[in-house]
Amino acid sequence: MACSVELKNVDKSFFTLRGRVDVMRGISLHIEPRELFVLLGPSGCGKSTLLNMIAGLEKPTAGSITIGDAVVADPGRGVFIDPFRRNVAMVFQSYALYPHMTVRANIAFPLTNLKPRPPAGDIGRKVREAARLLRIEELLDRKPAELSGGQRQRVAIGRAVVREPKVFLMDEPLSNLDAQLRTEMRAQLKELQRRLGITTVYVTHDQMEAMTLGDRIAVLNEGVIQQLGTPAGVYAHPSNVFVARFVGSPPMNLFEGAVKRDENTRVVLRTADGDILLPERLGADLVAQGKERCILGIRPEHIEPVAAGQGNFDSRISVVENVGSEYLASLFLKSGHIVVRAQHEPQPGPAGLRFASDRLHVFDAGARSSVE
Amino acid sequence: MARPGIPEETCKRILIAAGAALLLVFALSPFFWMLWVSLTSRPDFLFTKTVEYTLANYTNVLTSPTLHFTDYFRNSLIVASVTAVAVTLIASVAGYAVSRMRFPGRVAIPLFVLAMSMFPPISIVGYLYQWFSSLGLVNTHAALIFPYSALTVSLALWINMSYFAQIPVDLDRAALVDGASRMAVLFKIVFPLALPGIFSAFLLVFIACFNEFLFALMLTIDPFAQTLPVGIALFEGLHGEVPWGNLMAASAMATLPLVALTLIFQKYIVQGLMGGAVKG
Amino acid sequence: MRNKIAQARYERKETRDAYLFLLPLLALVIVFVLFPVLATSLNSLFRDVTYLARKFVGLSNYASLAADFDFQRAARFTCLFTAAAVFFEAVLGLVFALLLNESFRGRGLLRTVVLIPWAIPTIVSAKIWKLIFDYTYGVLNFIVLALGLSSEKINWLGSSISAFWSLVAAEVWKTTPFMVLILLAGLQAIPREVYQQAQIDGARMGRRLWRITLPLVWPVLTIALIFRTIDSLRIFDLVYVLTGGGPGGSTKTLSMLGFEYYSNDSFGRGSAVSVITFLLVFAVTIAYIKLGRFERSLKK
Ligand SMILES: Nc1ncnc2c1ncn2[C@@H]1O[C@H](COP(=O)(O)OP(=O)(O)OP(=O)(O)O)[C@@H](O)[C@H]1O
Ligand SMILES: [Mg+2]
Repeated sequence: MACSVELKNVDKSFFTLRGRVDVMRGISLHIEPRELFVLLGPSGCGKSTLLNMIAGLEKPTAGSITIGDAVVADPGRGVFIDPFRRNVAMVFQSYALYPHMTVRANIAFPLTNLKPRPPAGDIGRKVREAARLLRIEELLDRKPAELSGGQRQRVAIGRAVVREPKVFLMDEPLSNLDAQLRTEMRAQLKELQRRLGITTVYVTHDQMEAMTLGDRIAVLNEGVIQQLGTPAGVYAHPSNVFVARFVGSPPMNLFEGAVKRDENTRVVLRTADGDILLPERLGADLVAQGKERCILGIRPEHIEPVAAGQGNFDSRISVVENVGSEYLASLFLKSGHIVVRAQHEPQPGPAGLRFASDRLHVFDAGARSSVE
Repeated sequence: MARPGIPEETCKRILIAAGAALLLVFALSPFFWMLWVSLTSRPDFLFTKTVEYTLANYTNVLTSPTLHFTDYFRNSLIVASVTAVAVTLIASVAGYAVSRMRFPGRVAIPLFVLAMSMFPPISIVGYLYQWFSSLGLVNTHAALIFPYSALTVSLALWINMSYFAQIPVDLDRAALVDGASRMAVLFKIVFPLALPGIFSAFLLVFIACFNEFLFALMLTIDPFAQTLPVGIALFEGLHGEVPWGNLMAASAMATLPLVALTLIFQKYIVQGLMGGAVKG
Repeated sequence: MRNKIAQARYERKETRDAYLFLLPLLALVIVFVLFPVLATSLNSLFRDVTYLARKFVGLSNYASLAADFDFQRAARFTCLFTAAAVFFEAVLGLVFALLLNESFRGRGLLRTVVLIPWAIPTIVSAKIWKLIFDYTYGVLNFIVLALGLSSEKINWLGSSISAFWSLVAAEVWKTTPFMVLILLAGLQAIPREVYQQAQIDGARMGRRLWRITLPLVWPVLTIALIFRTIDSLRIFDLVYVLTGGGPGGSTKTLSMLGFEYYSNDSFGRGSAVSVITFLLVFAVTIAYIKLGRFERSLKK
């Protein structure tokens, strides 16, 4: 019984003692049944608030939210379904296990709230099933305080799956785990979600997690959706400077400057650190469009260090780091820190940088959104 | 740098020993004085230097039909228990709303209740006497239970709020999403976790009611409804002479349940007092 | 139009639930505290004695109180008594709290023992102290004679000055435990590292007390002082039993005066005294909050 989730023009404001705080504007999303949808954004951008609105823990100020074919919140029509009537399940960053209950009672808790309450035999069977699924059968009689972080995490997920909810909501469920466990749990979560086929909204601030987990991702910043698409699509075609910098690690390199012709009448981007030679096609396009200033973006792996004068741009490599399978070269420019990812060890000192001409991104200098 | 003379450690030890002795004498001597007198046949034993130990004071207080000790005790017990149970419930539900729900007045209401608790009893009791007289409530247990509840509910509310604040909000939210209604969240999650705090509030309210005097003096008239403090305050001998032995025996019996409660549940009482005061 | 109503209902659902949860509490406080206080305030503007018709008299109850010697004396006594009692409680409470904050053998026992005076009902403690001060049987007179401090027994409750100090002693005994507990909580909130750092910086015991402990415990002390002052300004039970307001009415408190008027069926004047008492309490509380400069911590 997989359900879609739909948000239409959702606004959210908080009314505090200090006045009104608008944290979310015009959010529209359609999440398909069975989809694993990731909300990605920096801290404080409103991810949790959005998730809480789907769960019913917060009320939207305007707009509507639909789960399956039931409207669960629509201030315009005075509709609001309480969280305990929505049949969604949520996993919290803090796990929120009930400290006074055993693991068994924790997992059984959502079932005991059903009306009518299922017979004890059914509850027991479902709890055991969930425990087997998550391999926590031997922990059932412990209290949460006696579990490790990873085990708590599993119990929280067990509590979420036991009721076969319409939607899973996960609020940074892995961020309290250490790096290794996180990678492992990430893969397991994805596998579990596939197997159960339950629509899932997953919140994270970790772009790596978003890229690896999501069927689709929405990048959120300051309460507005910046871009919506598949992880590969968002990575390849960031729609603005924010997304370009936020998705990908190390982040995309950006150069801001004026579109000019140099003494050889080639089109260049004149930056504070010198001229960057633009590929012919791109240069011609920009001139044709009459762009005077723009931001040029290129990912670290799309820059090749070459001899000075051989590339699009001449500069100095300051530091080279070996990160195992590859090298990261850093350049400290007036306009910021530039990183180059290389397979072969570059030498510090004067160097040319050659940009892969089909991988350049151009953003409007004013609107900071993608051109083309 | 180091000054010659007594090392700091020694100095400190001496101070601690002296302080401990002072504290023991300070806290215990009046208490033992009460017990001592209650166990002797004549209160002038210090001056006559002849002591005769006896339990007669106790048996007399318990059996005398004119002293009504058991009546007073029963009244105190009823009034204090009913009030404590009612206040605990009311303050818990209210504390939950204040610490967990969003509504206009969530800051103002606790402060309002706190401010109400600052009114001196004397500014309430006069009107209550007139009002209860006209209702025929004077000299009933209800005449005490209602005002006692109103006067102690602020303390209980603030204790509960300080305990509820320590329970992560995520637990409530998780329970709500797990299908528990607000009442279920309150009774299945918040209450069990805040039980020590709620119990502290219960004990403090109980003790406060057990000890209250002014309202009891004014709003009750005879041993049918009067409480222990009134009974003890108005305790007079037949011949104008204060029967100190009997009085101290009655005092000891009135005190021992409270001292026992305090010593057994010391942890809760201390935490309750701090929760109610420091947070307030 | 319909939309507006729907929207309002949507907004108010949680609010309505919350008020439902608060209803019993608010009803209790409003009916049995606020309402009587307001009625008392109103009543203080009336001539309200049982044997005469009730009549509006404006502020004349207050005017006659202001000129009344009994009232002036009760107001003065209440303030002086509060100042003395709270001062000694604070000093003694601080000493004991510092003591109990140290670690030594038997500390747990002392922490329990210190609660005993608190647990004893005020009326009982008043009776105990009455017997301690008793002219004929009192242990105090026994000690005074035994130590040769005086050649004959002293009538402690017989002169207004010694009665005053007897009351202060009994009050301090009963309420110091509260002070100790609150201050102990404040002391325990001071991180150990602060002391260790001060010790490394060469501060000796006395200096650590003055420069570190006292300033850090000050906010908690202010709160404890407020609570104790409020409580002391409205004292009734201890005085009623221990001295009965005597000798010659010299230890009557404002609450006792109000009670006397009520008992004599003079409700207008009793109400006026009550109003003055709570105005005094509020004035003192506000003064503390202003002086303690902790509006901010209260708001939090
Ligand atoms: N109850 C509230 N009252 C006022 N403002 C709030 C409230 N809850 C959240 N906010 C504000 O709303 C914004 C979004 O908060 P939210 O918790 O959704 O962020 P988030 O994206 O989940 O961040 P994080 O990654 O740190 O969890 C923040 O700026 C926060 O300050
Ligand atoms: Mg969050």
